[in-house]
Formats: sequence, structure tokens, C-alpha cells
Amino acid sequence: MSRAARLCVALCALIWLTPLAARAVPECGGEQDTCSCGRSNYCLCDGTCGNCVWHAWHMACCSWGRALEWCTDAGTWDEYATSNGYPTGDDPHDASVFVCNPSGTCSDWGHVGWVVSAYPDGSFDSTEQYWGGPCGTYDKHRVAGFATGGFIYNPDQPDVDDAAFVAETIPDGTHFAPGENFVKRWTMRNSGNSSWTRDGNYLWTRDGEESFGAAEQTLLPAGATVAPGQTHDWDVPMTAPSAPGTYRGYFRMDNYGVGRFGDRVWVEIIVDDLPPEDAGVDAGVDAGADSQADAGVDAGVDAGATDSAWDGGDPARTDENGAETGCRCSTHRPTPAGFLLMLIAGLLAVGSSRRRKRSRTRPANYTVVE
Amino acid sequence: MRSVSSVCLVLLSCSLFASCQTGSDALLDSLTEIDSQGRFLVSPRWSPGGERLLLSGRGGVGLYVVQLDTGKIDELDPAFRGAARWDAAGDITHSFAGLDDGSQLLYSDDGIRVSFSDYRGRLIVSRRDMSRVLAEDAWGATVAPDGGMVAYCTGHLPVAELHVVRIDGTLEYSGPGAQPEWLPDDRRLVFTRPQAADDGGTDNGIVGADLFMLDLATHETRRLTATPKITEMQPAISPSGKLAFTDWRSGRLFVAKLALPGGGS
Repeated sequence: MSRAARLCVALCALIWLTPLAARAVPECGGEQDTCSCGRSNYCLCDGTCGNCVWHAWHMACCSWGRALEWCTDAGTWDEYATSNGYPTGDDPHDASVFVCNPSGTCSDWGHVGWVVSAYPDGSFDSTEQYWGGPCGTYDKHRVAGFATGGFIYNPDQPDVDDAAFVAETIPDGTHFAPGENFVKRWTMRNSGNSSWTRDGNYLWTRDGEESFGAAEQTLLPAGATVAPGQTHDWDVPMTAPSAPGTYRGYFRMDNYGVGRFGDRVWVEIIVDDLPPEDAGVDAGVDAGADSQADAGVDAGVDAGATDSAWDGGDPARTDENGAETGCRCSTHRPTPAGFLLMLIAGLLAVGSSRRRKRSRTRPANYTVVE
Repeated sequence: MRSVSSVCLVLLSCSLFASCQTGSDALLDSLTEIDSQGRFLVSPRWSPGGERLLLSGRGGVGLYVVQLDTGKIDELDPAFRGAARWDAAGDITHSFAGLDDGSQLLYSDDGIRVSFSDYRGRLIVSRRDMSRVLAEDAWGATVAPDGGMVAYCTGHLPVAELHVVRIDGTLEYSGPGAQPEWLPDDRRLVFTRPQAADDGGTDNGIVGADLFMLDLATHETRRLTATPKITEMQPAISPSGKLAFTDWRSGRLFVAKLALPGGGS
């Protein structure tokens, strides 16, 4: 081997063995590697023109404070993310990495970029660079389905709670008689990274305005898990108010103790002027929706449930069958015998007051008991 | 329970879309909300005959068809992800006319071909053996029915710029707007103008949107809607000139006739 050849081999070996940190690429596509995530950006750049992986790595470093453990061809990022334990999925999230697998659309090496904003139609805004130009960093808008390799989410925020409205029953403007019972269903999709479980304190909660006599909280069935991307049907028993008018009440997902999240949805109904002959036949629920003036009636039902206050303590809860779970409801719980007595008294009182005119005022908090 | 009919069309007055007219010319006529039966619907696409709409669900997931005369909604596939459209025969297809280089064929007639490469957002017009790049970094490109002009967008959605170029590359219009849709008359298009969330300078989402119409004969832009509580997005024009759009805040679907001065509706 000639001296020149030996020198070349030595140089190549030196480059190969040089620690990655020493091979930092401090500038690419007009961006400087100024963020701090534990190591320098070592992704290749096409001169200083740009490279999609350099930019995606850079944004993960800046936004997540995380140095990705790989900077391979773009089309392999989904596999490396999975093998390195990063959460991935099919839904675009703000501040995530999108992956487009090698194809005619995204070149033979694939493509990656940074998701800035995600939209209801599945499209998203991104920032991206390209190998081979055009040089620089570009603001793009990508259509739903562009990211054929899915999305890589921030692993240091695995519990990103989010919920997206999918469908509902009882459309806005549905008419009911005063005091009529109904069950509203919302289908919500887990659009976050966390799984919803009862033990994890994920529940469905009232979130303002008219309560419709609904339980303050509705829990998931015991043992149920709603994984990211899955949907869940929340069925909430309700009672139409006693006075005619248009009413709206809001509901939302709640990671109890952490915060409410996701789409805030509502039920909006019209209560007609004339109550039907059988109004108030469901004593248990109807009494719950009754007025403060019907104190004797409400006493039975309210006491049978829990007298809790959302603002002051743990709210009352039901599971999806309307049964009280009481896992955090410790206030003013009567004995079983007392409950029975009060319930009987309540039923008798309701029977005698079925035709009584009712005001719209009602107890602020109570639990529906079936 | 006495509920409202689940069937179809809820007539809305122009009062909902308080300024669905500008000046003295009402541009939206017979505005109706289609009962989505509790679904969150986006991305309306008209059937060739204009009697059905193909829609997606929240996040682009799911595939639905609304029959406009009955209001019936067929759930084709609630888990569907990807692209779908009507073909000329009125069937739904998941394949798009693609070229060898992976780009999408937008228009082809009389020796002129317009294609769009999604990767770099490259809009290319080809005539015989000659090709030229009309635009780069573009999205949402759509060709006028007669092939004379191309509309496309650049930038992030909340601050997008709408551009219209002639097929020879001459710039006809540039201004704020997104999601353009051509009217059948080849000279007007409807687009949305989103309002960016005010979050300190980063365009992170939109807080509202309204529809506008651009007349390329006069370069006049006219407002179609002014509704702070409705985020009108994704206008779609039927072959007969009917307008459909969805509210990205609630997933509601609306259909209207366009009452166009100068004809064309």
C-alpha cells in the first residue's frame, strides 16, 4: 500500500472513529444549532442548503429538549422511533415529527418534518428542509394522509391528554317535555398520548351552564382502557328542565386532579310549553330535576346520593350505568336504612306533586340514582 | 320523546350568516345546514351529478356520503384514512391519477398537462415536450375547468397566501386566502380566509374563518360570510355551482346556492 493510500485509510478511520459530538453540523438551511438537548446536531446537511432530518432533529432538540438517538434516512425514522420507545401514532399533534415513507411522493429516502399545528381535517402545518434544495426552511401545509409513516410524539410528555368529538345523539334543538328523561351519548376519540382508565382518574364531567340533572362525573367501566386513537361512548342520563325554554349544558373530559382537556361539547334541547300527561313518572330522576321548592322530594333523592360540591370538594360520580361509585364521594352519606326511608318519602311526595308547577331552580349538585 | 326530525335540511336564514352579503348583492342564497346526525364532518367533495357529498370525519378519519335530497348519511367506513374522491362515473375511488415521477395529475387536455408534486410542492405545466415549474412550495393547487389558470396556496394555513397564475406563468392574483375552489365559469373562485390564533406571534392554529369570492375579471374580492362563531372552511363547488362547506369548530355541514351577478350560477 502506498503512503498516500495509507494516509487515506488513516484519515477515513479517524473520521469514522471521531465521536459524533465532534462531528457537529452547526448550521443547515439557515438555522443554527443553538438549542440545548445534551448534544450537538450531528445530522448531515447538504452543504448549508438543507436536509429534512437535520431540521426534524433540530426541532425535537429545541422543542422537546431531547437529542434523538438516531439521524438515519428519513424513511426509517418511524422504525427507529418505535425501537427507541418513542410514542407514535397516526394523528398529527402539535410539536411532533411527521414521517413520509419512501415513495414516489416523498423520494426514495422518505421525508420528515416538524408539525407546527394540526387541523380537524387531518391536515397539518409543518416546517421542513430538503436535501438538494430548494435551500432553507419552509413553512408547509400538508394534507391528511401525507405522513404515511405516521407521527413521532414527545416521549418526555407521554401523558398528553386530548379528546376529539366524533359523534353524538340528541342533536341540538331536540324537543322534550318538561321533566322528561333522556340519555345523551357523546362519542369521543382519544386523540392524546395517554390511555384513559378509571384508575387513572379519566372521567367525563359536566363543564358548565345547564346541568340537566346529570351526574357531575361519569366514570369509565372498571377495567376499561381507551387507548390513544380509540373511541369511547359516554352515555349520560339527563332530565329536561321543568320550565319551557332552550337549554344548553357543556361536558368535557377530565383527568381528575390534573385538568380538563379536549373538545368541550354540549347538549342543547328545547323544553316545550305543555308537559305531557305522564311527565314526572320517573320519580327518582324527576325528583332530582325538581325545584328547591320541592324540598321534601329532593331531600330523599339528594340525600340518597352524595351531597357534594364541585367547587368545594369531590363531586358526585356515577359509572356509566348511572350507579354511584363513591370512590371519592365521602360527604353526607346516609345509612342504607335512612336512604330507603327518604327514598320512600320522596316517591310519595313526587306522586302527590306530579301536576305541580315547577320553577327552574334546582339543587346545584346531585347524583342520578337509577 | 318528541325530537326534531333527523331528516335533512334545516333552513337557515341569512341572519345566521349575518353578512352573507356585501353591498346590495346577496351572494349566498338558500343557505341550508345539513343535519350531520351528530357527526363531525369535514372535507366535502361533490359527486359529478351534484346530488351527493363525500365527506370525512374528524381528523380526516372515516368516509361518509350524504344524499342531499333525503339527508341520508351512509357511513362507508368509519375507520378510513387516506385520500378518496369521486370518479367521473360517480363511484368513489381511492386512487388518484399519478404520473411516473409520483406527482399527481391535476389537468390534462389538448396537449397541456398540469401536475403537482406534493413533496416539494412543485406545480408543473407541460406542453408537448416542454415543461416549466409554475410554482414551488405550493399546496392546495386546483386548475380552472378550462385549464386556463391555476390557483394554489403557500405558507401555513392561518396565514396562507392565495395565488392565481395563468398557465403561461403570468401572475393574476396574490393575497391572503386558502383552499380555493373554481366556479364553473372559469373566472371566479371561492376561498376561505382563516384568522390566526393570537398567541404571541407563532401561527399556532386558527380561531375563525370566512368565505370570500374572487372575480378574476375585475380582481375584486367579495365577502360571502361574516360569522365569528362559525369557522367556514373547505369550500367545495358542484358542477352546477352549488357551494358546500364545513364549520371546523363544530363539524357542521352547510350547502348554499351562489347568487352570482353576471350569471354563472
